[in-house]
Parts: sequence; structure tokens; C-alpha cells
Amino acid sequence: MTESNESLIHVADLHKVFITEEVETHALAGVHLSIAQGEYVSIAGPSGCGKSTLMAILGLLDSPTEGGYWLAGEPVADLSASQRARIRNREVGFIFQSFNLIGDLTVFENVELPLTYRGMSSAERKKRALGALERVGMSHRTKHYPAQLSGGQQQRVAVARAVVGSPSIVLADEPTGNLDSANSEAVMSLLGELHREGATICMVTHDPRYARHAQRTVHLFDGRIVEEEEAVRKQQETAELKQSGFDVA
Amino acid sequence: MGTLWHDVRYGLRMLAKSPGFTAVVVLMLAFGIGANTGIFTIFEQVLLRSLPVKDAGALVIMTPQGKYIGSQWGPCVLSYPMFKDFRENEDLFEGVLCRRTEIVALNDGRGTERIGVELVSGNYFDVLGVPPAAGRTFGADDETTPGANPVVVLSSDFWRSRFGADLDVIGRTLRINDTAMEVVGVAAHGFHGLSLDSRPRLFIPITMKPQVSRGWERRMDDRRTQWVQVFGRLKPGLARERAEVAIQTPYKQIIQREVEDASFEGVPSEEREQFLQSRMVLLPGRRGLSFLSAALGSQLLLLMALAGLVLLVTCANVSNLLLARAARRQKEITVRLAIGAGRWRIMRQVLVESLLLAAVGGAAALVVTALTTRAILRFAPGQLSLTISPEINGIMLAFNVIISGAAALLCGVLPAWRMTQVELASTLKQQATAVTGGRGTRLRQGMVVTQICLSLILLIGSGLLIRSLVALYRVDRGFRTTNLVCFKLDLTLSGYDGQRQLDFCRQVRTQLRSIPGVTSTAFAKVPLLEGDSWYNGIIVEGYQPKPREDVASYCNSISSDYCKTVGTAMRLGREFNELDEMPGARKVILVNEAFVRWFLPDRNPIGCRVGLRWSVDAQPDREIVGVVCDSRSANLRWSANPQILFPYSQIGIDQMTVYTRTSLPSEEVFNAIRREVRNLNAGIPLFEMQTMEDHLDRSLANERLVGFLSSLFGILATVLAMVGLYGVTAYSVAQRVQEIGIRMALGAQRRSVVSLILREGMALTAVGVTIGLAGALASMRLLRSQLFEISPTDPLTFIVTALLLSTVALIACWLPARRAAKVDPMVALRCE
Repeated sequence: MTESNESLIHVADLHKVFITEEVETHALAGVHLSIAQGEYVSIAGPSGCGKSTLMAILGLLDSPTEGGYWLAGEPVADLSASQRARIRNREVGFIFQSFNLIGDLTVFENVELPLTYRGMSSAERKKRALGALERVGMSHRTKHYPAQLSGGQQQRVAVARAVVGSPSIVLADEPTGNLDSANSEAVMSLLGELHREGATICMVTHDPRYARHAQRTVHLFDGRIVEEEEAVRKQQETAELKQSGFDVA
Repeated sequence: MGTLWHDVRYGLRMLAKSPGFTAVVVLMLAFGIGANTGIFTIFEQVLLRSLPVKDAGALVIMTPQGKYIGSQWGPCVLSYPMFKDFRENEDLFEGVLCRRTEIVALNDGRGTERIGVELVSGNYFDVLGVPPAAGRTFGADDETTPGANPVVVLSSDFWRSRFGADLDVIGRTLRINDTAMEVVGVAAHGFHGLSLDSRPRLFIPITMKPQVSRGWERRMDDRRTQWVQVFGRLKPGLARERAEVAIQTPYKQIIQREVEDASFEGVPSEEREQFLQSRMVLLPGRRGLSFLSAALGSQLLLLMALAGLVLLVTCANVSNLLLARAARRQKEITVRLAIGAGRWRIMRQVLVESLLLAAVGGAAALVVTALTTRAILRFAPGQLSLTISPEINGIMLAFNVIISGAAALLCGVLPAWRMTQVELASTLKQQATAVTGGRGTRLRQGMVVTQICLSLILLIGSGLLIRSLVALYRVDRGFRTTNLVCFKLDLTLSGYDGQRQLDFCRQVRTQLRSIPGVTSTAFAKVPLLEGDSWYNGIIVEGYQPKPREDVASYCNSISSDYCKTVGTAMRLGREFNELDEMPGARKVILVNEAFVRWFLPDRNPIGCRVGLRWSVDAQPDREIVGVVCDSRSANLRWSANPQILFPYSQIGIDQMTVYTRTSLPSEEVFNAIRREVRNLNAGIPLFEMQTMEDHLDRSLANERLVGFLSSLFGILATVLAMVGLYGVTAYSVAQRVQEIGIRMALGAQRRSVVSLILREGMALTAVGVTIGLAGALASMRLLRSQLFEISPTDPLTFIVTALLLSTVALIACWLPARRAAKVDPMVALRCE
């Protein structure tokens, strides 16, 4: 098995098996995937196909049962818990479906939290957290608590928290899953903006409308990649759909 | 540092967000930490604290060990001439001092007061390195010849309380036992002499002993009278063990000279040899000389252990609450971990919260500490309340801080570790309320089992101690305490001696008998229930001592009607009558049954003769006229020792305890007694007037203290354990609402739901009780010395306590079980 020197993320023959007392579930069954620096990839597929498991492994929240994973050329599949925490903090930004903001911290404190764990000085944290909030249009809500914000606003704060540490990659797991369509569009355009500014994004979604925002969509089924679509082909399909009278974002 | 401050701020915010949780935890920790700090405050002052003198570690107490020929006035004593011999020894000691505590009558012109004083050698303050706070202390010129040094140094406390820290008191004259003495100075603040057992108000030169105790002149230079306690300050660098070896040579030389002295003529050669084999022991003197420490030491250690158990139960309970809280906060912690927090960082954050809780609990514990300390002093023997300060001090605060830190770690480590043991990916996908792991529940169950186990050990311990206390109250004492009052008179303090003392005693008895309602009155030298303080060598006619036997007996000097008044029955013969108290009466004695069993086992004791061995040529010159039944007169725990009772008129009496049997209410008889004694001599102070039942309570002060506090701790631990059990059961019910709903939908009866929940709680109780019983079986043996007429593995106590705890546990489980039975299946299922 070889690693890809050009890819930011490269996984090869990735397997993940969940073993309970009676059942052995193969969530991933030999996934090969590479994501280049600056690429915007979406992972799609039906419920239970292994999207979130793949995302968790990519985000170093979980370890593969078998297979290799290289992040920026470095093998990361078998790191210790503390090494993984360090890489998560510096290289990965997370956006969750349920936002996962900490209710007892203000908007500002939530956004600066990753920097706190990095041991950054208070002044630098403040500058970067305010910058990130400015970027998502939430700088006027720094002292608010998450419960005081709408779902869309909370997700914007979550995006700010994801990008505040300038990670190598932003992993978004169903970022619009808990939002209405207007807020979903706002979050998607925010991600698009981030991508245009150079961010590498990997997004899990089961909604084809949002999957199309990505340059490339990877389809998972029963723990395997069954299809990869390039953006050009997707754009053609979108045009066809529009011609047929469908309202496609 | 910045991130730590961040954790502190967040921790404070979290605690403020849950004021109920915070208050409960703080309260529990306050009790746990406060109880420990309170007992430690006493423990430290009684058992650990050094004397406030220069280099206390260099002090040793000189104590002869082995056979002694002569009279001994207290423990750890030497004769005054022997002290002077050692004072000259400059090879081993930088200085050698002597001291003795006494009670005197002080008259400063405003009335007579009975106070404690310390008789000290001239070099006392110099050897100890205690400077004067005002005026001067003593020097060599203040210890010249008996009766020639009428000067006193005031203790700082007495100077402040009695004289308002007035410097003009120096140079004033005080009358002490009717002898004028001049105040020459005030001792350094905080210095209270060399014994924890008393707080001397004054320091008086040792050469003034004859003025304090009439007739002592001849004993000052008598080598056969041991009465001074001697402290030495070792030379720098000289270890106590080496000094003890080295001191044997001069000691042997001194006792060899004593044996060759005329006073030893007539002493059998075997006894001389035994005396010559005695040796000098050097005890550590760092903490001074305290018999209170020895008496209370084991009880304080026991209380420390019990309080420690309470703290463990408290920590287990708090830990349990934190574990429950950890389950609720798992989502938050998972997010933190997901965005890059290390596990140690998360643990630190949780531990900071525990530390904050413990810090607030520790601060609140100071109130509990004050209450505990005061409660102990209220129950404890009188002298303890005089010498122990319940005030907050640096050592108490330091202990409080240390134990609060320890409690924080005990409470916080497990929940902190548990919080970091999460499956990140799956937890992030779940709803916060649904995030609870089986491992967390098992940990909480483990905590509850621990609490039940520790509570049972505490309850069994307190049960044994309480039953022991009841046994002490119920034991056949050999005298009757009901309708009996007592008080003390010290005639020597008022200048009475010789025939005047005897006449006054007779007058007191006559006057008290005249009070309507008084059925009898009598007095004794050694009071009931205050130990056997008079132990004397004796000669028993016809008795062949066993090899190396020290033929001696406990003694007391009593008046006629004594046995009738205190309610001790006669086994044989008669008790003393007024004829025995007449001048020139035949010398007679009473003995107890233990005396007869030991010295006269196969003889009719009536008519046998016994003598007191006050001199080497003593004769058995006193005839036994009666045998009294054995009694626990010295201490309720002690079975009777051989005892001889003398008529007071034939042996003298200086301090006496008067007993009056009456049907009158105590206050009424107290007033009548005061009136009658005042009529005889208004200047004589009466002290320690009380009913005999109160005196009995005071004699059991230590046992009552330990019984009270152990019960309190046992109840506290049980309440905490039951709160924990209730919490775990209620939590389990909350988690299983859907399961219960399904069971009920499928036809389960309410009682089977109750039974399901009860089984779970009682299974935990059964495990806790089983481990607790095993732990108690193993540990209760340590209580053996504290128990009276009860085995440390008494089956009844074990079984009853286990049943009691199980019953309370059943109630704690029944409350959530009843709630479970009320679950509406429709609501439960719809809810999910």
C-alpha cells in the first residue's frame, strides 16, 4: 500500500467493523479515497452506508479496524489518543449536524475554545476568534449564549469555530440536517465562500441539492465507494434538470 | 496559567449554574471535612503539639524504672536531692530542671480562690528558654532554702484575665496558702508550663513547697520521698538513646550511695538488690508531661479513624453525584475532545471543579469544625476544656486545606477519568440526554456499595461503643449513686493541720447530719471514681510474699458511716464507728474482699493484723475489724483491687470528699450544705459540688464522647449512603422508563415493577452489607481496648446493625420503586 504525496487526505482499503456481543457490523469495507488540497468533496449515500463512520475516521474521532490513512502525507491511522487530539486541534475543523456548541460558553468562548487547547496567548485568541466570527457574520453576537441564537446562527458559529484555527481540512457532517432551507442555503454558501478562499472541505450529506455544491461527490453504499461524480458532469445534470423545469439550487 | 484560570472561571460558572447540586455537595463536604478538622484540632493539641519553648526536641523526662524503696508522690518522680545531683551533671545536659503542679488557695485581697500552680526550680525558665513578658523570671537565687523564696511569676493568661495586664502588679504581694509572696514577673505569652493536664496560673519556687503542703519540710531533703518531675535539656547533638546509656553510670553511683545510707538499715538484702537493679529512663520531653495524652490518645485515634471513614463515605457520595453529572455533561466533554482537547486537559478541568467544590466545602467546614470542637470539649474531661483551644489556628487551617485537597482528588478523579472515556464519533451523533454508558452506572453502583460497606462498619463500631457505655452504666458498682451528693474540701489551703483538721471534719459531719432530709454523711480522702491515687507498701501478718512481689495495697482514709452513706455493703464484721475516731482508740482497719482473696485466702480475716510500710522498721499494728464488699470505687472499668480503709482520725486527712445521702432535691441540699459549712468557716472554699450521678457521668466522659461522636458519624454516614442508594435507584428508574412502560404494556403488575426495582437496590445493599460485615469482623478487634464487657465481634450487634441498615436501604429503594410503578405505559412509550 502506498501513500499519495499529492493528496491532503488519502485512505486506502479502509475497513471498520463494529463488534457487539452478538453482531459484527462492517461499516466500511475497503474504502479508497483521496482528497486534494483545496478540494471540496461531498460524501453521499443512504442512511447506514458508512458516511458518518468514514467522516469520524477522517476526523480522527475513530480508528479504522484495518487499512491506511495519511493526512498531509503522514500516516495517522495508528496514533495515540493524545497525538490524535493534537492533530484534530491543529489540522481538522468540525461542523456537526447538531452544531455541538457548548451551552455554558458564550459565542466568543465557543469559537476561541480550539485555540485555548492550542495554548495560544489570550490576545492572539481574541484576534483570531473575532476574525472568524466576522467572517461568518456573527461578530455582533459574541457575548450571547448558544441558546439565545437561531439554528442558522448556531451553525454559523460552529463554522467559525471550525475555521478559527486555520485547519488543513474542514469536515462537515450533515451541516444542514437540522436547519430550514433558508438557513441551509446560507450555510452552504458560507462553505462555498470558504472553499473559494482556499479551504479544503469534506462534507457528508444525503441531500443531492447540497452535494452538488462540491467539486466531487463520492457515493457510498454498504461501506464501499460505488461511484464518484466529477463536478463538470454534475453541472451538466443540473442544467438538464433546470431545463426540465426543476428548481435546482 | 491562563488556561488554568480559564478552567477556574468555567468551573465557577458551572457551579453557579447548578446551585442545588453545589449546595448539596458543599454541605456534605462541609460535614465530612469539618468533622475531621474538628477532631484533628483536639488531636494535634493533645498528641502532636510541642511545648512552646526553645528547641523542645532536646528535652527529656527523667524517670526511674524498677524497684523503689520509699514513697512516691505521682508518676515520673525523683527525690529533690537526686534532682540536685543530676543538675550538677554537665556531661550530658545543658540544664536540668524540676517541677511539680499543686493546687493552692490564692488571696489577692479580693477573696480566696483555688488555683493551679507550678512549683519550679530556679533554673526552670532559663533551661526552657522562656523569657519574661514583664519583670523577671526566676534565677538561682530564687531556689535557696525551704521557705526562703516567697516570690511568684504570673502566667501571661492569668496576668491578663485577673490583673488586666497591669504592669503595676509586679511588686505586689499575693497571699498563697496564707503565705505572703511577691510578684516578680510575668512569663512569656503562650507558655503554660510543662503539662497539658493543667494550666498553672502562677509559678512558685520549688523551695516554697513546705508553704504549699504543710509538714513538707522534712521531705525536702529526704531521698526516700520521690515527688519532683525532672526534665533535662540534652547537649546539642547528643541523641536520647545515647544519653540514656550514659546516664546509667551516675545514676548507679547515686543509688549505691543511697543504699549505704542509714535509712536503708533493715531493708532486706533481696529488696536492696532489686533497688540497685533499677535504671534511669529518658522519655521524650518535646510535648511535656501529660497523662491526659496517654488517657485520651487511643480514643482520639479512634475518633480520627471514624471521622476518616465518614470522609470516605462523603467522598464516595460526592463522587457518585459527580458521576451522574458527568453523564449529563458527556456531550459537552465529547465536543471538547473532538476539537482537540487532550484527555488530561479535560481531567484537569473536571478536577478544578472538584477543587472548587472542596474549597467552598472546606471553608464551610470551619463552622462544622467549631461546632465539633466545642461538642468534644463539652463532653470531654474537665481539664481538656481548660487546656485545649477551639479557636481557629494556622495548623487547623493547614489541615483543613490539605484534607479539602485530598477530598477533591478522592471525589474528582474517578468522574474526571470517566468523563474522558467516551466514544467520540457515536456520542457526537446522539442526543445529550441519551448519552449514558453502562460502565458509568456500574461505577456508581460500586460507589454505593462502598458507602453501604463503610457505613455498616461505622454503625457496628458505634453500636459496640454504645453497648459498652450502657454496660458501664449497668455494671454492679458496689456503691449507690442515687440520692447521693458530694463535694470537696481542702483544709490545708485554709491553714488547717493536725488536730484542727480532725476537729473541723467532725464538726462538718455533725452540721450536715443536722440538715432535715439528710440521712447520713461521711467523707473519704480518695474520692470515688477518680482512680486509685494512694498505693502503699504494707506488711500483712503471716503472709509470705511471692518471689519479687511488691507487697502493697490501695488505701483510703474514711470516716465512720462511710459504707452506709455511699451504699457499700459489709461482707464481714463491722464498719467504723465514732469510737474508732476517738483519740487513743485501738488501731483498726477495714479491707475489701479482693484484699482477703490475695493476702488472707484461707484465713478468717477478722482480727488479722496489717501494717503500713512507711519506714523500714514498720510493724503490722492495725487490726482488721470488717470486710467490705468489692466495689469499682476507682474506675468502673476496673474490677476491685486489694484495698485497705483507715479511720481518718488514725491516719490524718487533708483533702477530703464529703458524701451526703439525702432525699432532698439536689439544689436544695447544695444550698443547705453551703450554708452549714459557711457557718463553720466562711473562708473555706467548697468545690466540685455535684450529685453522684453527675460525677458518674463525668467519670465516663471519654466513653460518652466516643459513643456520641461515633453514633453521630454512623448516622451521618448512613444518611449519606442512603442518599447515594436512593440516587442510583432513582437514576436507574429514570433510565428505564421505556423498559418499564413496555413491561407494563405487556401486562406486568405494579407490584412486579416495584419488586424489579427493589431487587436491584437490595442486591447492592446485600453486597455492601456482606463486604461491610467482613470488614467489621476484621477491623473491630482494634476497638477491643475501648470496649467493656462486650466482644468486638458481638453477633447481636452485627446482626441487628446489618438488619437496621438493610431496612433503611429498603426504604431508600422503595421510594423510587413506587415512582416506577406509577409510570403510565402510554406516556413512557410515546416519550421515546
